[in-house]
Amino acid sequence: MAEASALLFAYCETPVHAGTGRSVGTVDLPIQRERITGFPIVQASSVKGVLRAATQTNGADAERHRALFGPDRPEEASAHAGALQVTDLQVVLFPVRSLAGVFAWTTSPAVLARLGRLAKLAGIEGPVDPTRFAGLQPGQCAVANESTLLVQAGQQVGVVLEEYSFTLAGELAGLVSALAEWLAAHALPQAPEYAWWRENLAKHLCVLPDDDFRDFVLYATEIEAHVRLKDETKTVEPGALWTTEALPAETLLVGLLATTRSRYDKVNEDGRALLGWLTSKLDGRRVRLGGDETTGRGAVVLRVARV
Amino acid sequence: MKTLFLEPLDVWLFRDGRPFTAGEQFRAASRFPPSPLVVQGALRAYHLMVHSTVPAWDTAAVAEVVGGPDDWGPLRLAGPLVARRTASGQLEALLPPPADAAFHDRQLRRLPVPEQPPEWLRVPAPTPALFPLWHAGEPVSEKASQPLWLRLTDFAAYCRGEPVPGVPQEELWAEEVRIGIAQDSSRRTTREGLYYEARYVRPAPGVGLLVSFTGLDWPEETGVLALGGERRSARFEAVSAFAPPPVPEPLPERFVLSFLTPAVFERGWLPRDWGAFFDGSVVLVAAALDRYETVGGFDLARGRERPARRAVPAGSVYYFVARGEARLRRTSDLPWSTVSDWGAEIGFGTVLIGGW
Repeated sequence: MAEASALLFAYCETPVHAGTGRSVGTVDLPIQRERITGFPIVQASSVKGVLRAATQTNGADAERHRALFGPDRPEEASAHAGALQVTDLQVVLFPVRSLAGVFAWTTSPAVLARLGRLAKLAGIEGPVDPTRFAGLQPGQCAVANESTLLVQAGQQVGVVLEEYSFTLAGELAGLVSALAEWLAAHALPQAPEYAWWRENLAKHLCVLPDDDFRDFVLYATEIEAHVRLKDETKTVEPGALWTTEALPAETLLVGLLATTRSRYDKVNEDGRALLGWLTSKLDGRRVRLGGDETTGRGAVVLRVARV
Repeated sequence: MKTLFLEPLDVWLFRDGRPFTAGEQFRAASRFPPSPLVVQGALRAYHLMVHSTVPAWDTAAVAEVVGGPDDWGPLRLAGPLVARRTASGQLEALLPPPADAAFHDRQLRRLPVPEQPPEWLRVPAPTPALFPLWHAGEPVSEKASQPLWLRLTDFAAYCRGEPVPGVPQEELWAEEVRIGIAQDSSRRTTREGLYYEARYVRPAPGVGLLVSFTGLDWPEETGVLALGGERRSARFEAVSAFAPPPVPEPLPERFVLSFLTPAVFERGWLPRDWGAFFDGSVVLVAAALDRYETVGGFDLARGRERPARRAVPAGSVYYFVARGEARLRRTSDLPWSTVSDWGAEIGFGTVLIGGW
C-alpha cells in the first residue's frame, strides 16, 4: 500500500502546558481541550511544528524533510503539500493521585475505543475490545489482580483516587493485565530507563467509567499560581498574579501519523519509506512540547508504533 | 458505485472563502458540511497518490489519471451529506434544514402548500408571479434559534406535510476555536504579528460525511485520507446498500426539488433553462431559499484560487407543476440526481424529489 500510518505516542516526563492562550474560566492559561468531550489534547499544529523542528536536517535528508513537512518558507507553501498528516494528540493514560500505590494511570472505555480505532488505521491490532468495559457502573473501576492501588477497609476492597472511592469489577482484571501488556509493548518508550515503567504499568493501571474519567481530566490537572517579582523590592508587581494549567507528568498521549508518497519533485519516495525515515528520527526521542520549556515544562518521550 | 462514510480523527477545517493571509487576517472561519469541491479534491488526491505512480508534479500525467482542474475526468459524485451512526450501528443520513420548514418544539413541519397568489399581489413584473409560501390567517412560522436537520427516512412524511422530529444542529457538531502562533525556530520565540485564530468543526462522535461516487478505482474498504484545510484526517469506510428514495418516473404533477448540496445557477437563483434538467414541460410555481453561499477554493493544478461562485444554498426547495408527462434527466449511474448549471458532475445540486 502506498499510504502508510503509524501510532505516535508521547509520554510526558514533566508537566506539559500546551495552552490556548486565553480563557473565560477560573484558570488564566488553560490547556487545550476537545470542545465536545473536554478531554485534554495537544493540537496537531503544535505537534507538527515540534516534529518538524526535531527532524530538521541538512544534506540529502533536508529534501526528504521537505517532502514530508512541506516547504519551510510560507511564501513557497503552495509549491506542494507535505506527505505527512498529523492528528491531535489525545489522552490515553491520565495519572491520578491514589491512596495506595502513589498514583494510578487512569483510562476509560471511550479512550480505549479511540485508541483501538487509531491502532487499526495503523494496521496494528488494538489493545482490547473496549465494549468489554461498557458494563462499568459509575463508582466502579477495573484493575489488574496484582494492582498496588487496592485499599482494604474491613471486608471491602477498592481503589481510592483523590477523594473518591471505587469498587472493583473483579471479572475485568484479566483484561486490564492484557491492556497493560499491550501498552508496555507498543506505547511506552523501549529504552532501559523505562523498564520500571513498563513493568509497573499493570500494577498502576485503572479503567474508569467514561464520566468518572472525564471528571478527573477536567478537575485533576495541575494548576500552578505564578507571580512576577519586582527586581528592586522583591515584592509582587501589582496585577502580576496568574494561574496556568498543565497536563501532569506521566500522562500518555496518542495520535496518528499518516504519509502518502512524496509530492516534491526532488524526492521520489513512497509513503512507507518516508514514514520509515521519520520513525528512525523520532522513535525514543525526547522533545519539548507546548509552552514554558525553559522552566522545565513539556519534556516528552516519543514512541512510534508501526507494522 | 462506491459509498464512503468519512469520519474525522480530530477536527476538520473547511474554509469559508474569505481571505486568510499571514500578517493580514487573523481569523479563519469554517463551514460544515463542506462543498462538493472539497470532497472531490480529497478523493481525487487520494486516488492519485495511492492508486497511481504518476509523479505529482507532472501536470499532464496527473490530468490523465484524475482529470484536469476543470474537467472531472470520469469522476461522478453525489453529496456530501451529513450522516451519523445510530445506537444500532446503522447510518442515518441527515438533510440540511429545509428552507420551507417551520420549526416548533424540535419538530419540523412544511409550510402550507403554495396557492395561486391573489389578484392584489400581482405586479407588472416581467417574470411570472410565483405562489407565496404562506397561508393567510394561519400562524405558520416561528423563528427558530436552532435549525433542525431532517432525517432522510422522514423526507416522505415531511413532504406530506406531517410534523416530523428534527435533529438539532448542536447534536451534530460544535465549533472549536483554536489560537495559533508562529514560532521562530532558531530563537524559540513567537514571531511578531503571526497570531491567528481558526474556527474548526468538531463533529460529535459518530457524525461524519457520506459521499457516493463512480469513476475512481477504489479497492480499499477503510483507510485515512486528508480532507479540507491543514490536511486534517478523515477515516473512511466503505458503506454498502445506501441509496436515496427512487426518483418517480414520470414525475408527479406537483413535485418539489429539495437541494441537499449547494447548486450553482447561471441566473443567480435560477438556472439558464429548467428544460436542461427535465424531459417534458415543467413550471416553477414557488421557491424557498436562504441567501447565497460562496463557493471558491484553491486550484492546485494552476497554483491559484478558483473563481468565487455564488450558489443556491443546500436546503433550498423549488416547487414545480408538471404539464403532462415529465421526467428528470439522469446525468450519471448514481442513484442520486443532480441539478446545477456548474459542477453537477461532482455533486453540486444533489436533489431529492418529493411531492406537494
